[in-house]
Amino acid sequence: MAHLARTLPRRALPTQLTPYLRRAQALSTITIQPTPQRTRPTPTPTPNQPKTPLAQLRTYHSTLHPRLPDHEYTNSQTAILTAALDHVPAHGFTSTALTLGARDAGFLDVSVQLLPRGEFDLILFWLASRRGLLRGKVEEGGLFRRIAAEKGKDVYELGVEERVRGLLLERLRMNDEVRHVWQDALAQMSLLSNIPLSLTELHALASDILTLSGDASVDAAWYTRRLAVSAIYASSEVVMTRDPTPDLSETAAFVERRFEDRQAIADKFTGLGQCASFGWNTAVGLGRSWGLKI
Amino acid sequence: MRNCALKLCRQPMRAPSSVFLDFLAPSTVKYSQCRHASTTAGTAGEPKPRYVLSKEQREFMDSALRVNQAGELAATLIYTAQTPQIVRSYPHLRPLMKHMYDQEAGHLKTFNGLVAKHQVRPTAMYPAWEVAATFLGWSTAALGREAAMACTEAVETEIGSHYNDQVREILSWEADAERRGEELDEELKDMLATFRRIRDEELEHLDHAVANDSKEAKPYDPLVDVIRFGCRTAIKISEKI
Amino acid sequence: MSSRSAWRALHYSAKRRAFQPPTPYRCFSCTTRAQSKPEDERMTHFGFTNVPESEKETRVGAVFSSVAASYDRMNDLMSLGIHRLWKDHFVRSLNPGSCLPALTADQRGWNILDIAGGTGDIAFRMLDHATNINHDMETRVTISDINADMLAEGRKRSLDTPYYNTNRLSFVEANAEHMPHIPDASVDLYTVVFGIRNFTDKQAALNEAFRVLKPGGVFACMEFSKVDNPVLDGIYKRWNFSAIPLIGQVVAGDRDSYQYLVESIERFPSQEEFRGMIQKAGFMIPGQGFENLTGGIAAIHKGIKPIVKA
Repeated sequence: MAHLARTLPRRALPTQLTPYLRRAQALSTITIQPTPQRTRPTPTPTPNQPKTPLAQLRTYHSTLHPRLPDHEYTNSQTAILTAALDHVPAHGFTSTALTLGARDAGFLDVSVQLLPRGEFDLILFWLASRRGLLRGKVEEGGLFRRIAAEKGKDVYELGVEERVRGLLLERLRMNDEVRHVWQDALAQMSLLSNIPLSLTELHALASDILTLSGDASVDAAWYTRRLAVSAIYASSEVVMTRDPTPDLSETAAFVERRFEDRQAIADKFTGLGQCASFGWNTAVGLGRSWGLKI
Repeated sequence: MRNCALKLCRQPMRAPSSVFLDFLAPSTVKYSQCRHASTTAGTAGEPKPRYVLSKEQREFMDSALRVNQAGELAATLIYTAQTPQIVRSYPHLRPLMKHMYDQEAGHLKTFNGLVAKHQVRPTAMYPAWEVAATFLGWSTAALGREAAMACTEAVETEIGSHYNDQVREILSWEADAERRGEELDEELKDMLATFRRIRDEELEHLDHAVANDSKEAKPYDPLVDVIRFGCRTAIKISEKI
Repeated sequence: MSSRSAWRALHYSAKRRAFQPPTPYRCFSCTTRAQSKPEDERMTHFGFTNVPESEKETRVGAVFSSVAASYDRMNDLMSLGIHRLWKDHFVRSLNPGSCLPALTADQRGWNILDIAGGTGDIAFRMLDHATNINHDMETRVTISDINADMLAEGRKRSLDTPYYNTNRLSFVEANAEHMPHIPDASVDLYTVVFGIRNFTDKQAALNEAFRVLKPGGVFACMEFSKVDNPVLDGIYKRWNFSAIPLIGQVVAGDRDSYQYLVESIERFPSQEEFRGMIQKAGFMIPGQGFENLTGGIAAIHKGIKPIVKA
């Protein structure tokens, strides 16, 4: 069993991180935030931040451990962004909204330098915070009951598919108040340098929707389902920006159609797969019955 | 050094920036509150405070569960592909093959459950591993009983040592927790026990394979080396993607 | 200049480099050497040579006095004009000036302090940006420099700008490590562009910046930094140590000053170390904390003073 005495697996702990963490601890600055009058150390971001500081890819989750935050903005950044969101319906996802937010939060005009990505940070914060809000609604428990009531069902009769559909629509409705400025945000998100983070956030949303709906796929379906939900959500967002109806009924109809399409495609693939595996098993069985050593 | 680094990494987690997150993710607040409750109640006789996992430790668990699930998937498929050919030539091996397959299927079920419970991303190479494992099982069985057993030996050696590494890692956390007067949470303790049990079962398969003349396989060294190298590569890949 | 002398100069500098004693790197924030020998006078580096701290100021002063007149022409030659792009980018990313009407009278316009901005190229850019882009006629810049010759050059240039003799532009001769004439918490934006590497005590300058900035105010610094790509680094080092002193000799007739410039670039701390110094002064670091320009030849560092420092 000498091979069992191998060294521990090399862990993904970058060695150069340690001095920064040590330094960050020693230097964490104290701020007082305006809303709750409490002093707490600003969690100095580990300076060696990964390339995608927001919505980091899902990691090990456990109900016994606190969930990692939806974003990694510091308190001051969050204060500015939260205040700026109030100005988004009037000013859009612009630097004006950010500046007004900074003023509201007690900062100076120049303090928007805290957000290196500018307007895109505001968009990302909107996405991440709405995602958190959606999870909050589900965990309070009222959302699925309402969705079930709309369909005239009991909440336990609600299938995963219906829950996904309901959550997706609910998330789209959250964008209602910024519907008129959302096209600009979509344009920002599709800029070349912003695409990776936008996709990460989209994936995080799709993943959250599926997890909250109780989807427990642990094989390749994990990927295809997230892909499908992401695609449906992204296309519905575009439709929503051009939806003239006040209650988003056109968007809702669009979402329904997309889910039906998805179902149709999935059925076709399942059928094809079954057909192929049947043919293969028959061939192998035939071969064995002829005495082939396979 | 490692522990020191982990301690430092853990520090930012200790102070969740919940001031402005409250409205975003009520769950954050809820969990951190219940954690604080358990932390303050840490007097003698009371349950010890819970050991908080750092980001790196979460990432380790993430990749560990992903690899284990992929490994058990491959193991079941290897046995599925081997069994018909082996049993046809050596009917007396039927109960052994069935026993090993059943155990592997049980492991797969365990890990499927864990992967779903802890919201771990399954490996993106899932379909590729399915094909590769079936091919490996089928081709070694076609080479004969000894080759099939050599395949089992090689695979179980790698898997067993891999589980051993994981057990050792979690034990090091336990020691770390002990030093701080904390204890691992129930899930981790269960997982540790599960990993140990599964490791022992995998090593039992290894013994069965050796008992069934795996060492007699004709090109023994190249065959085993190639399979072990393949396993190691697959483990490395599955840890990442 | 004949090609032979150019070749000789290249050769000379390459040799000179090889003879440099391997002095260990030492940054000001961790002056272990100085602490170990407290009885001696504190030493600091002047290029690759060590000089007493009291002397560095005068020697740097002499360098900049001698290059003041040809400063921009030399910058163009040395950086192949790229320094203009960097400076434009720097000012654009800071977006000086308020495009929104101010809420109160004292909030009107930004109060900008441009340290080591003697010739005024950053100051004029910021004022232009505020005026033309943000239509802000209130934002003011105070140019502070330790070197009277550089300031004189800036004054001369300001004659051609619309800000000459207005209250939007003022010149101060001061040491950035100690500025008693500037009250606490009075500045919105503190900029120092290609200047901080010449400071004797960088940490003291950072602490002073922290003092004069209003809570929420921004410290922004552009400085030569460490190139992360080894290939580019090789080319860059070659250019620095061979071509720049040569250009200095040919164009400004002053080899030693430019030799000092490149050596001081080499001595400046890396992005991560300098970020640590900014944090040590008490600033919050936005995101990664620095932005590399042209592969790290220059880097923009930013820090924000927290709202309330307990």
